[in-house]
Amino acid sequence: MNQSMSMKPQTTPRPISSGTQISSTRKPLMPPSRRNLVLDLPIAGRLTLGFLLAGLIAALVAGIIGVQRSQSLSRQASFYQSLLNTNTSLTTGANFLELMNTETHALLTEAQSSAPSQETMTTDQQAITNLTNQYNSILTSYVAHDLVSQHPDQSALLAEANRSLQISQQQTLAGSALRTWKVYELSQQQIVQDVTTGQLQDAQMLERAQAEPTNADALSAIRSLIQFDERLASSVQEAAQVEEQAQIITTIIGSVIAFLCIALVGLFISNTLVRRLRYLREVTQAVEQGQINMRVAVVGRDEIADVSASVNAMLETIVGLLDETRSQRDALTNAAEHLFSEMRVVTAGELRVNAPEHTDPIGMLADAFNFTVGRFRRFLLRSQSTVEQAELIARREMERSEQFLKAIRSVQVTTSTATTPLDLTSKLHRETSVSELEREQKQEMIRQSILFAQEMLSLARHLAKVMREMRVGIADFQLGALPDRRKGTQGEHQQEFLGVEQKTPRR
Amino acid sequence: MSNLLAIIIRSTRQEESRRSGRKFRVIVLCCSLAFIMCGCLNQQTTGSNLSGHLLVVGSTALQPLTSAAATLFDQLHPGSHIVVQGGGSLSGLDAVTGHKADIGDSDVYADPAVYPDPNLTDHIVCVIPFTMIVNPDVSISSLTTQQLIDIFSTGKYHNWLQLGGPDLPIVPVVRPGTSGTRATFRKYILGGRDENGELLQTDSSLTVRATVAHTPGAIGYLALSVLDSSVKAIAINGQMATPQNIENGTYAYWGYEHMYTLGDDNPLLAAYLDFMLTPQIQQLAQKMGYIPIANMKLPSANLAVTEARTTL
Repeated sequence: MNQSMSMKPQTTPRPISSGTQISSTRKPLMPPSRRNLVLDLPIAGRLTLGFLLAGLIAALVAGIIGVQRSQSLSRQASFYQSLLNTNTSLTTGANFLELMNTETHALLTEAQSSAPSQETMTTDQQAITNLTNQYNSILTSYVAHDLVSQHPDQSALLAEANRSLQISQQQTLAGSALRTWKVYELSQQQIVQDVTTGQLQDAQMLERAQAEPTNADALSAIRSLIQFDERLASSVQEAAQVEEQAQIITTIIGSVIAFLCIALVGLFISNTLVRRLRYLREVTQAVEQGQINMRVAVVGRDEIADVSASVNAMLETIVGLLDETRSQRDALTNAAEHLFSEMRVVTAGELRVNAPEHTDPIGMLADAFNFTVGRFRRFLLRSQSTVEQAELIARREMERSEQFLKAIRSVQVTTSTATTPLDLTSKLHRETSVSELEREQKQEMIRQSILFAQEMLSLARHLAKVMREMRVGIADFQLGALPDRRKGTQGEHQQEFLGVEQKTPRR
Repeated sequence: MSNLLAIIIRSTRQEESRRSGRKFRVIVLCCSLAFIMCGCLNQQTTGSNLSGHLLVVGSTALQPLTSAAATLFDQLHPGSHIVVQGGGSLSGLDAVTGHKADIGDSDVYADPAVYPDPNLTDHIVCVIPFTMIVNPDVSISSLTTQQLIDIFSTGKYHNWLQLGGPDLPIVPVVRPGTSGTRATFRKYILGGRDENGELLQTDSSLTVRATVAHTPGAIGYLALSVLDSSVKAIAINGQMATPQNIENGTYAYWGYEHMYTLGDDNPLLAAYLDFMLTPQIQQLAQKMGYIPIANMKLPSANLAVTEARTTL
């Protein structure tokens, strides 16, 4: 997380403002890292590689442990084998020593007998020489080949058991065996020589005083050497235990190292996946929050790189769509504003306007508006002519009323001039001898007519006035001779007002 | 192990805080490795608690070394108690084969005919050089093997004058049959011949030294470790009993010092026997007049014998 926090400052995207172009500042979230060949592998291949590597490490460790084990086993086995061999040859040697002693005795006995058989003595001497040679070869070959000090692996094995002392111990024992053997050999040769030269006394004395004790010494020495092999065997066993312990340690350390290596390999492989997936997620999250100028860095040629690339492409497409939508919205807004301004003209009374028509929704709206305005204009034109006619009628009625009023008044004046002075009455009396009542009825009727005429006049005047007002009001609309394409939607209130005014004359 | 597992699990949880966590994890793993190693080493360094009693009987020639070694060993292992007694090589062998002692010190080999116990195990701890000594009045400085045979065995020489010395009768001092020094002398110098001379009643190097010192014209033999200025050491075939001469095989009068046991399955016994071969004790042996076993090379044993062969 620290890492991503630290890289945020470099790649912080600008918040998107509606009108501005965004495509210029698209930044990948992940800094382009150095070229990594592993990233060029497909994920399946990489996983296989990781598993193979892990398996290889495990196999290597197991192999090392196994090889160590088998080496130590074979070393122990060869040690045991050589111990067995030397033990056998040394035991044979010890038998030879005893046989030599016996043969010497036999030789002496034969020589001392009353009638010594030359043949038997020769056989005995032959046997002694044979045994001596064989024992010599056994001992010398043992010293030359079979000592632990001549076998570095055996010495190493003893050193492991902390028994290096035994190497020199064996040398010492071998030395003591050699020394005692040589002393015995000397005395034995002396005896044989004495027997052949006939010095039986000397030979017998030497046999008793020197040959037997030195033979015993040599036997004792060779036995200690044989016994020492047993001690070596137990040392080998101890060494085996020590090696087993070492093998356990190796196994543990090897397993830990293998675990570490495998874990590192796994970490490496998963890092190549998880980190980039996390970047991808961060980018998608950022886009979710509106930062659509974020882009994923495409590293390598694997599936994640593919996904990253397609996410980038998707984002590009989305941004393109967004731009298009925005421009369309702007165009609509412009059209609507234009329409609105034309509607204002209608409000001001101009009914000759004609909204430009498009195929978009606004165009349809404008069409509807034009239709409405056209209907309204036609209606107004009809209303206008009606009102003009009504006004004309009202004026005519007014004139007629005035004339009628004038006529009535003149009638009244004539009547009253005839009647009001004396001569009128007299005249009435005289001319027609009409009764007073009849005259009064006439006068009353005239008065009534005058009143009626006056009322009619005032009514007609009022009507004319109203019609004029209406005519003026209608004339406010500029009902030009434009074709029937007008628009305007806004003036409901005005329409109502107009409707009210239009109804008035009809009533 | 569970501890380690917990640490590893915890460390993998740290994976979330990546960079710092990685460092921490490496440290943790190193610690766990060290922990395992310590555990393994601990297993090895356990159990050196030796206690018990050991009785060492035998050779008076080896006694000074075994006593000193026993004291040092007791100091190293407070639980142990090692008793050293003298008595001669053969009594030591008798004691060990009769289960009366744990270790029998001996200057000579155990005769398989006398001690047939197959468990009797030889441990050669060092080499003891012997030397011929004469009374300081005798002006002779070297004798050949043949001259020694003629003095001790055949009686051909009876006055030092015959050998170019002063006019003094030769008095050979002979040690009793239990003496390892005498047995070695007979085997390696006299070639098995009998000795004729003044026979001592007790087998002690000190008695030999005193007798030779006080008897004019006396000649005897003793271990180099008990040699002092009261007697005069003489060479054999012109070779003095120096470690160099023994190591390179030109001096034949020496013997192995054996410590016989009946098997060495007792840990205290094995430890003491190993202790005898440690450099500490071997250096002590060198100071006391013995020759460390490591100095004895195989060819020297061969040479000493071939040389002896030529003298016969």
